[in-house]
Amino acid sequence: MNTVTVDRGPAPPAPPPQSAGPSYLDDGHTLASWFATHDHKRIAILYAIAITAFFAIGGIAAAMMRIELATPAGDFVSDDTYAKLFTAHGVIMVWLFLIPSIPSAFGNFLVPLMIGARDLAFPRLNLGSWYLYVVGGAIVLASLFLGGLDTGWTFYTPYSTMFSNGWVVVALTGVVVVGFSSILTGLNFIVTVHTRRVPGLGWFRLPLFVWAIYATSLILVLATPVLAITLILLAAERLFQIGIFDPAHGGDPLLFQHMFWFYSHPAVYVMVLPAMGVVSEIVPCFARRRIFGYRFMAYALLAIAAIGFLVWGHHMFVSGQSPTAGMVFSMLSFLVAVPSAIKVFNWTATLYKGSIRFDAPMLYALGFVGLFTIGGMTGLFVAALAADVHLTDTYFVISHFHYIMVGGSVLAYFGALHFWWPKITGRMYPEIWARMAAGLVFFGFNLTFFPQYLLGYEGMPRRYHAYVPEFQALNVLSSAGASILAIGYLLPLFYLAWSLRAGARAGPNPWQATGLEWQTSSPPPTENFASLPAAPDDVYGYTPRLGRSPLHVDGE
Amino acid sequence: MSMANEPLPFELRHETAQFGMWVFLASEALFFGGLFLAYLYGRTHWAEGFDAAARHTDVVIGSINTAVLLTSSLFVALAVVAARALRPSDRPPGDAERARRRSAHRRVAVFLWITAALGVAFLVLKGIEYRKDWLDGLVPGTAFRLGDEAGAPPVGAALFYVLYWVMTGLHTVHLTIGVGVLAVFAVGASREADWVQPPRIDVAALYWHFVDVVWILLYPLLYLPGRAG
Amino acid sequence: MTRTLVFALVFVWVALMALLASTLALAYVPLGDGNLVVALGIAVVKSALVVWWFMRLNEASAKTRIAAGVALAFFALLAGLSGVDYATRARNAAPVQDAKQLAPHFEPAPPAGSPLR
Repeated sequence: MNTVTVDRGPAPPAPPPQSAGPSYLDDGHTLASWFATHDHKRIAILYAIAITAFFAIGGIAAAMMRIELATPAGDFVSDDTYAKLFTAHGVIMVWLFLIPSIPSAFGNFLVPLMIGARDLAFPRLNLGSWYLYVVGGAIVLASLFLGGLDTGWTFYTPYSTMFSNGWVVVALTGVVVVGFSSILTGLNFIVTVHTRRVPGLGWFRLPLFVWAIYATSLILVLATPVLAITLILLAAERLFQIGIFDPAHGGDPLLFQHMFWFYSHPAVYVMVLPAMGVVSEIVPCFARRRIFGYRFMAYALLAIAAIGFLVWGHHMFVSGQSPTAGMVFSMLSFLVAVPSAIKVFNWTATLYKGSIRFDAPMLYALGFVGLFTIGGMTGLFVAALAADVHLTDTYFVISHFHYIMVGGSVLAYFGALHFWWPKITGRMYPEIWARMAAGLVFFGFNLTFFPQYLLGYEGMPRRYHAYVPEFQALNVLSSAGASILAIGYLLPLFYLAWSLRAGARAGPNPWQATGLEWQTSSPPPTENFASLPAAPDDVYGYTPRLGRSPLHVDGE
Repeated sequence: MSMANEPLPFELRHETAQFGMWVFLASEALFFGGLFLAYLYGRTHWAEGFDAAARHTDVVIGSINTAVLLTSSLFVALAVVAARALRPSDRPPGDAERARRRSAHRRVAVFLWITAALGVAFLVLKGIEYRKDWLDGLVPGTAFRLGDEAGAPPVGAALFYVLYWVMTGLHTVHLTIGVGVLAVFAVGASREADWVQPPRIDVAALYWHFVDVVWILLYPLLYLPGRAG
Repeated sequence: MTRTLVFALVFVWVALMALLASTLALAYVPLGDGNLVVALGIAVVKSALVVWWFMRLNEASAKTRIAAGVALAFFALLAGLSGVDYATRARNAAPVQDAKQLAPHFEPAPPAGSPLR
């Protein structure tokens, strides 16, 4: 390869002398050294494996739904089975995949490294969180194996309390247990960021990923307990047939919805804020420019977290909530778009006059920015009361949230996976395959979900396994897209596994990125740093390169 | 400075533990908060039913239990004060220091045992009360009735008791956990164990006080409505 | 120093017991809706005493006090914003809501064979 010497700005500090201890992967090979570990990096990997397994199960449910929906008649599965499929898909993807994904896999691995700490504030609690997650997930799976439940992931009363014949209480138990796991994880991150930063690392010198995990943790600690008590009351009502959500006894089904959505709306910000943090790390690195508007990016994360607690009633516009409350929630929902938009503008501005490289992480990050924008804008459609009367409970809403959860969060998860893969494993993945997979994911995703906007607009309702024949063409496109998306998801499984054996070994900083995690070896030693790192002067000290030169991938 | 196995300074550990417990208590506040919201809903919609129902809670046991918990909070707070003398020292303790620590351990143990005993007293009284409630028919369901009152209970009375059982039940679970934790610490303090350190006692005490605060807020909602006239 | 601290704690305990006695006594004084307000008010004062003195929020760091305040604020948010719905239902009902739903009364069950069953 020709190498041209160009000015890349100040050279990153020389890689540290080979650290004293073995890498965290080599520090013990027994089962006990993994399942009784206190090391945040090993716990992160335990989470990542479990999360992947749950993603696969939730994905299989989605695949079966899309197979059914390829034809108008309900001929693949019965309506009951279809209801169980969409419930399983929702419950697994929301609570067992999206909520824990970036915080528990990447937050756990990276936050201590990024702040120069040895571990999280409460390492054993961290392991406890993982066990709670796995036990809760097992209980949820048990509810599926016992026969499933058909209430939808939203468990609305009175169907869930009085009429459903599914394994509701078992599923609720699993979700509550997983909820406690996430509360403890959030608590751990909050205390860690407050108390374990290396001396000199003030709040406004932190990477935006840390800010994002912090904001997410605030939501986890404050919102999840309300979900827990709500689901406990729901279970009590179902078991004892006397409760506070039953009008015949003076209760109110909308009380359930208020309490449920008080958590579940901020929960969607739990799903997207860490993804935004990931994008804020990837875009500056691959544009070789400092992030535009760092302080506004940090404030925007906090604003999204805060305002996100004020908008839950927009899920209840047609449930029987008073129109006054509907108007209040509608206005507040428009407000939450503002900090999100600020972030999109700032990512875009970061690209301006940058030297952009389209490596796989950057492809995912750019895909996030575009797809999150579309998802966010369609959120404004449904935030408008009058429009929502027609769009609610149609495929429009489904497409809106999938643009954010898949086009946003899942893409960011894959971006993070590729960006930090060398750090986590010490190996580089094959770039060509990664770019192909990214392309398939992007194309497959849009083919799956863009037609669903049109379907919803034309009135196709959600949670139905059969539909009028007029909708078939768009549904076929959507199902075709889903098959392409599935291939895009499966490819990384193969080439990442391949890279563990045969990928090029990565040096400490193959991307020449800023950030303390790149100042230690790949993979890091168990104690993270051989010696206490110094707080960096400039958290995003990139300067655009002049001319073109390939980055060396074998460490430099 | 090597990072491997370097113990953190005491102040940092103390601050971390304290702050961590407060963050946990914030989550617990919202956990109970959902129930308080449900109570608010019920009270604003069915005031008469709630008043009628609340007349049948046992105000004597409820008030005694409140006094018991408030007193237990005093004693666990005193245990925290006594535990200040148990700060780990840098050099090995001399005779005077050892004697001081021994008496501090004793004081901490005594205070914690008293607190735990008061907690157990609460649980015993609660058990007696629950049994009485059961016999009075105050369990929502088809056999629900308001003690000896004639006629069907007013709407909202059953709702009140759903909240009564869930709120006090959840509180009792939390209290039981607290009693267990304090008993373990009391045993440790009696044996002058190394792991009985101020930050840990502080954290256990914070949890105990929180359980007390929840009860302080439950008491006027469950025991005092409907008493006047 | 420890003695003053112990005295302060005992003094707080005396205040708490006095407040308990007063709230119990006031419960038997007919104040209408004021009974709940007074009782809750006294409970809030008792809680504040426990939080400030027993839980030593008076000596705690800023971030700890903020954590306590945030918990309170978010409960208020949950209750308050849900309350917007409940407070305005009678005044501005959703069209789907039957007027009878807003002032429920429990009628005898429809006779057997009626389409309402």
